[in-house]
Amino acid sequence: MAIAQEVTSGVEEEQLVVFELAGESYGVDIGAVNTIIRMQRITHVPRAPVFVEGVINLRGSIVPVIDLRKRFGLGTFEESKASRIVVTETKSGLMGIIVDAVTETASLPTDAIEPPSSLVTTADSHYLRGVAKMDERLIILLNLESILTESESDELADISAGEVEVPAEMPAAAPV
Amino acid sequence: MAADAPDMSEYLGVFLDEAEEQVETLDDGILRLEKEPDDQGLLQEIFRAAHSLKSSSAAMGFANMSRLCHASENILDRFRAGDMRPNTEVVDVLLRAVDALKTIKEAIRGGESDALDISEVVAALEASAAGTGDAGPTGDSSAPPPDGRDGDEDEERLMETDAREVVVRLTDDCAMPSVRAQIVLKALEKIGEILRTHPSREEISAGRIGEQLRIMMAARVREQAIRGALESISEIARVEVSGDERVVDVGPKGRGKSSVELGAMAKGAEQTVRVNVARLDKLMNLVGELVIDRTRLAQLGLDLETQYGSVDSIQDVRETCRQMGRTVGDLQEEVMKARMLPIAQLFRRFPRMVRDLAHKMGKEVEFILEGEETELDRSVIQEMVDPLGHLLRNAVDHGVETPEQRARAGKPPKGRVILAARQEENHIIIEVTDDGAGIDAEKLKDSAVRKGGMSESAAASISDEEALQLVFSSGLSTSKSVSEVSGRGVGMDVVKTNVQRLRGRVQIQSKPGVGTTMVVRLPLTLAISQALLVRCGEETIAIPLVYVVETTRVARDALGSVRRRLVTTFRGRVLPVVDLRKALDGDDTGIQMSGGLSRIVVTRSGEREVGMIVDHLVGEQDIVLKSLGSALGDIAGLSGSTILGDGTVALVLDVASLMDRAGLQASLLAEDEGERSGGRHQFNGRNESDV
Repeated sequence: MAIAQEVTSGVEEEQLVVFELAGESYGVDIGAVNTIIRMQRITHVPRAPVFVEGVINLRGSIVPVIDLRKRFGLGTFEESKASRIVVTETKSGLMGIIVDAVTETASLPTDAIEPPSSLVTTADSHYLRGVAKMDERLIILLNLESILTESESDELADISAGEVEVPAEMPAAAPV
Repeated sequence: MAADAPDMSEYLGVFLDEAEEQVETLDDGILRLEKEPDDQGLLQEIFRAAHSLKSSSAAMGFANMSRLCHASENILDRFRAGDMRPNTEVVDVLLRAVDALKTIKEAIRGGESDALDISEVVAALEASAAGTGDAGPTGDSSAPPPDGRDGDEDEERLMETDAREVVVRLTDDCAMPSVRAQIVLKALEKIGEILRTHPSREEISAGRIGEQLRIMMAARVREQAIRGALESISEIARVEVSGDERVVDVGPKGRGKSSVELGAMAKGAEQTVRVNVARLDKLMNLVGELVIDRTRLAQLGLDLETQYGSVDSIQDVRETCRQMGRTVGDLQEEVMKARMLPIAQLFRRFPRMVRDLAHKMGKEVEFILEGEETELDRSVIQEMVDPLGHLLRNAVDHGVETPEQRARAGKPPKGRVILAARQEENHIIIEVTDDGAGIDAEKLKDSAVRKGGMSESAAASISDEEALQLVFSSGLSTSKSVSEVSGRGVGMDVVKTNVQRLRGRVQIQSKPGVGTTMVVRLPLTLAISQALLVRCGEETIAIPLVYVVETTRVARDALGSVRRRLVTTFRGRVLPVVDLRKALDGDDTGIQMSGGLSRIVVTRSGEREVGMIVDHLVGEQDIVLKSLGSALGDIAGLSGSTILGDGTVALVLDVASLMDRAGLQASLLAEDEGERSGGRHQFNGRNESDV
């Protein structure tokens, strides 16, 4: 329901930054994008959630960087020349997202956005705000706030407490 | 009535800040007055605080606050008139009023009204004011002449110091002229003494303000300073200040003033500006950025030289970097100083607590404050309230004996507790000393064996000094009975944890029968610190220097294992060893124990020591601690991150929590005791290696 409301009460057009990830197109609201930078050295943070690649220095701020592939269970990331970090603004501060390539910015009529359906994407619909059709392509709209949602915050707390939950697709590294 | 009044939220912050100061002045002053009933200057100070709080709270519509002040003022007035003495009972009543003021102030700060039931306190105040007090003026004729002398006194002051007339005209559309006028007066009071105002303060509080406010004040500052003090106040149309030269010549009395007195007056008139704390924090952060950039530039200069050789222009760049480094260093120091507050802010909270506690315990305690002018970072001051409270409670409760016990021990009946502060290089030392019973190291050892699971042989092998430090471990208390005040054995480890969080240390010295001294050592500031940079694999890790004991190399085959824990011998002691990278990752796999040397950083947190195996040492550097951000939250073993000269991020180690994680307990205590206490540590979950 919340999704439907959000969609109908929005402005007529939405400006999106569109990027590619594992062969699919994703969009985030342009207003939520702080900057887009090239890949750089990421400092690994021990005991961080598995999908957190680490942290980077963005003009003096420490920004966590997330690998959406790991978040969505889309395999492993391979860096290429087109790889970028899309730095977004969320309620809990800046957050970087590793993407395969940033393709364009686009305007979408709001009514072209439909609620997410698990049929169209492999990513967990929990992290999605909706799906839009654009030039015969499907663009998946991300719900940035839920990428680090409460359940994940709990997971972080567990990690601090020494109990790492290993996702099913990850090799079990913890000693039994 | 506050509901009908125009929106005053704009002034609320200023009002509350001032109320805070005034209530503190009252609290502190009334306590001192009990000891020095004849100090007229002190009485004036208290009276002034009560009076201005009365006016400002009335102007803001906080009637209860104003009533309390008014009722207190009546008593203070009788002190001034000399027909009542500040004895214990009256002081108690006044202190109750101060407590009520505090409660109301906090309620207002919390967004509530001032509707507290004060009728009882006010009744007590009125009864005291109406009562005979302590039988009028006592033998010494130092009591001041009755009222009405104030005017003459002010006239004299006019002669003695630089009198100035300040005329302030408020804007026509000024929303709350009476509040505005109060703010003007408060601002001027900071730089000098207000002798007379026209209209009078009473008229101002009542809202009767004419076109302009005339203030006659004594201030040893330049005209510009007076204007500056008023600059930040809005809704002022015009300020006139009588000329920069002295208006009234210093009278013969003034000439007699010693240079010390004049110096004190000048000091009191120092120019100050009220700055939002958030702004200071931001400023400190920005300086932090500069420190990082300076480090980066220096690195770049070096890189350029390596790449292109010692060309003139590169030399220029490097020289400019060095110059900038010095400037940034100075800037850093100045901003740091701006964040400093005299430790008096912290100390002032305690005389009352110590007094009340001593009364309750039936003890006589003389409480002495030393080094109140020592300055400390404001964030540190806030964090030290609880730990110092614990230490002082301990000193009064466990330290100082009852008068009878003291008499038997041949000591004066009145015990002595000293709270002292001083600066030693980059540290602030705070000491809490009592001349009480002291701590018996043998008893502590017994207690550690009984409750702490320490082995008797271990207890026998440690020195008395080491044994004393056991008071900081949890669950140990030598006090026979658990009192309401302390004695549950939980206070001291809290003290230690808090102090350590501030990257400080606490130690204890004690002699049975003679007394106890607690020594707290704190860094001057938390924002910028020094760290040892080490490499572990691809990552650089910063270990704060306060934790580092020394660095050493150990042959891998010299590593042994005790109770499943990797150890080596270091300076004759058994030192637990961890592989830093693995300890951070929570990786339990063993360490390559043969071949070559291991580089080890020996770290200490409290009594716990651990050697950390690292790949190599990079060097020492100033670092600015940055949070990893709320998205990542707290991570065991890390206190945050910092940005290195090459722009990359290094993790900053939190040695204490890493030790907790690794299940390393104080070497003095056996492991089972450690596990029981372990559950309380914030970061400490289960010790995987032991499960």
